[in-house]
Amino acid sequence: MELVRTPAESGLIDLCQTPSIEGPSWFTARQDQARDEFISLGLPHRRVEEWKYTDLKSGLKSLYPKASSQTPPSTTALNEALGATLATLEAHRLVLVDGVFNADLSDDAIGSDVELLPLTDGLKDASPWLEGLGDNLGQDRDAIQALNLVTMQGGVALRLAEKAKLDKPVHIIFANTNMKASSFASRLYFDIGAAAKVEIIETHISLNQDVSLQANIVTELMIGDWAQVSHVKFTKDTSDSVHLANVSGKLGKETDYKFFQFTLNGGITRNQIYMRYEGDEAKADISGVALLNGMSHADMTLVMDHDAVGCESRELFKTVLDGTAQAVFQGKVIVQPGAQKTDGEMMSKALLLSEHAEFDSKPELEIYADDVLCGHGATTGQIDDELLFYLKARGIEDAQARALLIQAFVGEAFELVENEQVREMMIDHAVAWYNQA
Amino acid sequence: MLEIKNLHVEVEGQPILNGIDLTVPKGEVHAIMGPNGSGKSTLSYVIAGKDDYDITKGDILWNGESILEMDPAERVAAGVFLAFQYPIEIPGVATMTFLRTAINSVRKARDEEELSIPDMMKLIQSQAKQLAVKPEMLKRGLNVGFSGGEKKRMEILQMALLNPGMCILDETDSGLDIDALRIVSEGVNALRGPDRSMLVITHYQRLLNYIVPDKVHVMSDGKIVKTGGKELALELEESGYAEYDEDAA
Repeated sequence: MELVRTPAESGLIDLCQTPSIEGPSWFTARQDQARDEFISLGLPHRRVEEWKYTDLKSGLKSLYPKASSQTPPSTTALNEALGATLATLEAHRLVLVDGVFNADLSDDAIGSDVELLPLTDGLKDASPWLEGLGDNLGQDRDAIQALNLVTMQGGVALRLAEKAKLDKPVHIIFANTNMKASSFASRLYFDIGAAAKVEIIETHISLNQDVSLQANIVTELMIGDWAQVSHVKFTKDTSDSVHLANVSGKLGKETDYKFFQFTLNGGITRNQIYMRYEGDEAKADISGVALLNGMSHADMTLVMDHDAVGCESRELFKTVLDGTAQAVFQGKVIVQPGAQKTDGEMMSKALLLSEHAEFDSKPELEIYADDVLCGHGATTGQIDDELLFYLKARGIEDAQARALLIQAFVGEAFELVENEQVREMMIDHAVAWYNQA
Repeated sequence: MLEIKNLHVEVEGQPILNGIDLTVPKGEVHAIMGPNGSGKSTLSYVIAGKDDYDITKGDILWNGESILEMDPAERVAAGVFLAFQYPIEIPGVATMTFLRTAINSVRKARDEEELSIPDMMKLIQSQAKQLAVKPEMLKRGLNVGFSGGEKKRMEILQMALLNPGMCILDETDSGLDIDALRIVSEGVNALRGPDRSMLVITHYQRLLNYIVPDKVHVMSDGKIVKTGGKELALELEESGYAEYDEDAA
């Protein structure tokens, strides 16, 4: 059967013909393979099991022109777009303007035991520690990951030496400078040495308000034994935006990885997480909050792949939906043969504020070992009338009482954000959202 | 003054209250006693403005004005407060945050200036102390992990802080041991005054040893069937509700 290409799909295939980034032969070979993969797979659609609830083929109506930064923003303009809390955040800044690393806006000295490479330079020099880039931990790439590898315009790679400890978090800022809707693909690559410790804060902003974006971002984390990584990500896109993100991590022995995603509205947002436990007794905590109104669609799809002994996975997601918003949670825990004493716990809860909102939840367990502890739970509910009456019977008016109850619903998840400044910033955004709901 | 006039209430077509007439003058404490299922709790919820009830006839007036069209928060602002029989647990809402929100909401609705955080803390802490509400309780989620006595003390604390003219206490004694009953009753008695009326709903006479009412009403089958002085409660303690309640006989 001949594939029917949508205009967006044809545009993406054209983009694949001229990769923006060159590199050594191993990289070019991966790109060639990825190009073939994307051409054969096309945009994911509802008949692809993992994309059943997020049909990009019909959702991605047209392709926005490729982002180009003619004039990088000033630090003042950047700080203004970040807002007071993020602008004053004590952190090492790495700024990607329209997906491409910008040295002028970024901190040049992160630490003596940290190596920083803009992805274009790094690939030209073929640094050996980049060799995992685009390999997708040896797993099959999906169409969107494949597309990123061929079309990425830039990105940044960071290498932490053994036992490296940074004095401040690393704040990765994706700043869009375009006046009109645009698209970009970018990549983050982390090689984190044994017993190193790092806190990553990832934010996405637009210098011009209400500009829509189509973003494809891949993050790869190679986490060495005993390393500790905390990774917090915040997006608040326009309703015509498409944000496709992939985070994959390889977890060494006794590593500790924490990921938190805060999604505020947006158009189509998909965060896809893949964690592979390669060392014994590794831990990963994947959690988040999504507050969605209008026609926002947010998809959190994750696979926790346990292939070592005594590892732990924890997932906690809280989603609040208003209007005709739709949220998707697909969580899969795989326990490979021999991954005994695996401890996995997954929970996804949704609060529907409107009868037209929709929450689709698909937890899956694939267990091939016999001594494991795995559980999952999902709930969907509305604001409890008894609780609401109790608050109103204390003089709290309806709208404020509802806001308090939404806050109570998501609060448990926000508590998982360790950085106090970032947590407060997120809660401020959340409170503004509740008060509009 | 609270006036309930010929109040008829249904739930899903089932009549629950069948013509209640009751007046609580300013500064008086009245008790309503009655067997289970007589409609006592329904009456308290209807006064507080809960949604689930159809008022088919009659009216409720507070200081001469009907409150039936007011939403629950407006009734609190107007001065009508209900202490719940079963206070609700709300995990994730810190008790202190809740109290601050409630106090300032009510002050705003009454055209009073909102309190600053330090003034608010002082007010809450001093009232909390009188009711033996420990500071740790204020930090926890609202009513979460509180004992029965702690929950009831929290209700009375809220009542004190929101400064109502009309206090309705729905089975405040349920689930309390003697010591807790004494603390809660002392808290309630401290709030008695010439400008404050109270309606104390209870199944047992015990509570009325501590909160001595000016009048006692007996409710059965959705109606007030007898009214007397405080000695009526003692009579009921002796004879039970059998003469008022066909089902219990």
